[in-house]
Amino acid sequence: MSTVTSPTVLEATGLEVSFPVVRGGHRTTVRAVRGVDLSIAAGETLGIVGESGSGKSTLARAVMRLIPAEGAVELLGTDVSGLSEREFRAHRRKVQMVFQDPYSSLNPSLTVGQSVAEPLKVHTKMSGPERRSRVEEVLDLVGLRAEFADRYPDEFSGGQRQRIAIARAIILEPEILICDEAVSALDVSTQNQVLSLLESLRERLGLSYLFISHDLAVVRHISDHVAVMYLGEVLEQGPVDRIFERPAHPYTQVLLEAVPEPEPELQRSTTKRVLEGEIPDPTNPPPGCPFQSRCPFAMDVCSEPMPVVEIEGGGISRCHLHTSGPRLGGAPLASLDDAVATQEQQETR
Amino acid sequence: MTDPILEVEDLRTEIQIDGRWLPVVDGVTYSVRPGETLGLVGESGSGKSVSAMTLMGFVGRRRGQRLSGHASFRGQDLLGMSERDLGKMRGNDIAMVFQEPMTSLDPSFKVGNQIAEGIRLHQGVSRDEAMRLAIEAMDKVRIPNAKVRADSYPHEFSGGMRQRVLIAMAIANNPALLIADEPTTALDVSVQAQILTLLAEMRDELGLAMIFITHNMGVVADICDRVAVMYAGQIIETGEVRETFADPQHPYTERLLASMPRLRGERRQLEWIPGTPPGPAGFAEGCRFAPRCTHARDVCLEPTTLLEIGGGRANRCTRDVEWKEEVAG
Repeated sequence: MSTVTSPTVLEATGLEVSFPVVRGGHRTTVRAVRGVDLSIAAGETLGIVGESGSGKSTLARAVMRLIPAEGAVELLGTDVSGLSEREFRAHRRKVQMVFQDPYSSLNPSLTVGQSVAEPLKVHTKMSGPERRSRVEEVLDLVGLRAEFADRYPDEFSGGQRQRIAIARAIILEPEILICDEAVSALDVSTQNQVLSLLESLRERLGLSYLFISHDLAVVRHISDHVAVMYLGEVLEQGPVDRIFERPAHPYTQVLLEAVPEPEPELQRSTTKRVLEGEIPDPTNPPPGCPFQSRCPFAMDVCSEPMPVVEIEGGGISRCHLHTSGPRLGGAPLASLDDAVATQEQQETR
Repeated sequence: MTDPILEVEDLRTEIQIDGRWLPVVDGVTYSVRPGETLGLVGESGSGKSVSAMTLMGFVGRRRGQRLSGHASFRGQDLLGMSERDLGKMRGNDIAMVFQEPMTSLDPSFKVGNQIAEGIRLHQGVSRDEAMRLAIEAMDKVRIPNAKVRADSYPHEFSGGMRQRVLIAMAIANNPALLIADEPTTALDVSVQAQILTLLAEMRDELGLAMIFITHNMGVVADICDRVAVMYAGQIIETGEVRETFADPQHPYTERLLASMPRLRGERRQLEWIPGTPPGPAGFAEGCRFAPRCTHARDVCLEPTTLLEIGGGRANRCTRDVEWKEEVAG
C-alpha cells in the first residue's frame, strides 16, 4: 500500500446501506452499499468509479449522513457513526459536497452572495458584514469577481455556477469535499477548468476529496487512489497509476477497455472485449462475487465469499484469480497444495 | 466510390429572437455515402444537433424560424418537401435515434406494439405481420428473448435495452440513412461500448449511411469514418477521422483534442480553451473562434470560408496551417 504519512481524514469501515423496496408486490431490501471500507489521507483524492447501480452516490450520501447507514465512519480520528444528529452537527462542517447539476443546486431566488453565505448563517455567529467579506474571499478563491455576489444564478454559465457551488462548499473550510459527478454536466473545456480549480484548492487549502465519477479519464486525472465499485461493493482499490496501468480485477479491465479514446488507430486496431449482459438485480445479487454473471473468467469458486488479495504495486483486488486457489491455467504445480488448503478453509468457513 | 445518399449544401437555420434573426446553423455543407459514418462533433450550442433537426423538418419551419440552402436525399429536395412528405420519409428512409431512451418511448404501450405501429404506418402490412417484423427487428438488435420482451413496457427495460429498442424501431423499416443524436451519451461506458458495436454492425449489415452527432471525440474515433467539427454554427474543419485526429488543421480541433483527459499514456496537466463558446447573438465578426484562439491575428477579423485543402479535407482557419508553427513542441 501507499506509505501514508499524512493523517487519515476519513475512514469508513464496513459501510452498509439498505433500502426497503417493493418488487413484484413483495417487500424486500436492496443492499445498495455492501461492506465498503475506504480511507482518505489529508490532501489526498480518492476517486470512486462505477456504473449506474454501483452504489457510488449512495456511498457519498452515507458518508455525509444524508441517509442512514451501518458501519463505522471516522472523521479526523473521531468515530462519528454513533453520534446523534445534534452531536454530529459540529462535525458536519468538516465534510461538504458538490453535486452534478449546477442548474438545480442553487436557489434561483437567492443572490449568489446569499447562497454562498448560507452555511455561515447556519454554522457560525458571523455578522452580516463579516459574512459578506468572507463570501468575497471565497468567490475570489474560485476565480469569480466579488461583485458577482449581488447577481442571481441564472445570469451564469454552467461552469460559473459550479464555481459558485464550490465556493459555498468551501466557505466553512471543510477538511473533505465530496464531489458527486461534479463536472459531468460540463463541456470538456469547462470541465477541465473546474478540475484545475479543484486541484489548486486542494493545494491551497489542504483539502481532501472523495471524487465520484463515471468518467474514468477524469478520475484518473484527479485521483491519488481509486476504488472501483460494482453492485454496492468495492471490487478493486489501489494507487491510481497501478489501477490504470495494471488493472487486476476483470471488471476494471473490461471497464477500461470500454472507454473510447480519441485515437482512431487504437480504437480500430484493438479487438475490444465488450462486456455483455447487464448488472444483476440488486434485490437478488448472486452469492459471492457480484460480477460473476458477466465475468469472462468466472469459476465455481466465484460464488464463495470474495477474497481480499493484495496486488503488487499497491491496493487490493477482490478476485479469486489472484488467490492461490484454482486458476484458469499457468499456475505453478507447487501451489496446488496451498490451493486445496485454501479451498478447504473457505468451505469450512 | 458510391455516390452520396445525402448532400447538404450551405444549410442555414435562423431563429428570431427579439426581432433579430440569429444564425444557429450557418452555411453547413456535408455529404454521406451508403455504409459511411459522418461524425458531427462540437460543444453544446455548436449547432450540430440543430443542423440535423433542420434536415428532418423539426426546426426551421415554424414561426420565428427560417432556413435556406439545399439538402438532397437520393435526389429529393428535403428542405423544399412538404411536411407531409417529410413525415413519410422520417422513420422510413431516414431513421433517427436520440439521446434519451426513456423519453423517446411511450411509457404506456408495450414496446412490441410501439415498434409494430411504426412498421404498419410505413409499410402498410397487417397487424400480425407488423408484430412479426417488430420481433425480428428486436432480434436483430440482440435483445435476448425478443418474442417475450416485445410484451414488456419500456420501464421494464434497462437504459441500454431501451436504446436497443429505439434502434430496432429505427431499422425496422429498412432505412437508408440513420441520424444518431448523442445516442450513447446517457449510457454507462460498458453499455455505450455495446451500443456502439451494435450501431457499427447495423451499418455494415444494412449498408446504412449514418450521421453520428456527439460531443465525445473518443466516440468519433471509434465509429466515424469522416468528421465535421462544428463551432458556433459553422463547420470549421472536416476530413477523414484518422487524418484529422493525427494532424488537425484548425486550432479549435487541435485544442479540442488536446483537452480530452486520456486514459493511457503519461498523466499530463489538463488543458482547456479559455472562455466559453459564444451564443448566436454573440458570434464574432470574421473567425468566430478567434476571441478564444491563442493564434488569432488581425487577419482573423476577415470573413472566413471553409477551404478545400485536398484529400477530402477542408479547413476554415484564415491562417491555414501557419498557426502550427506557433504550437510549442
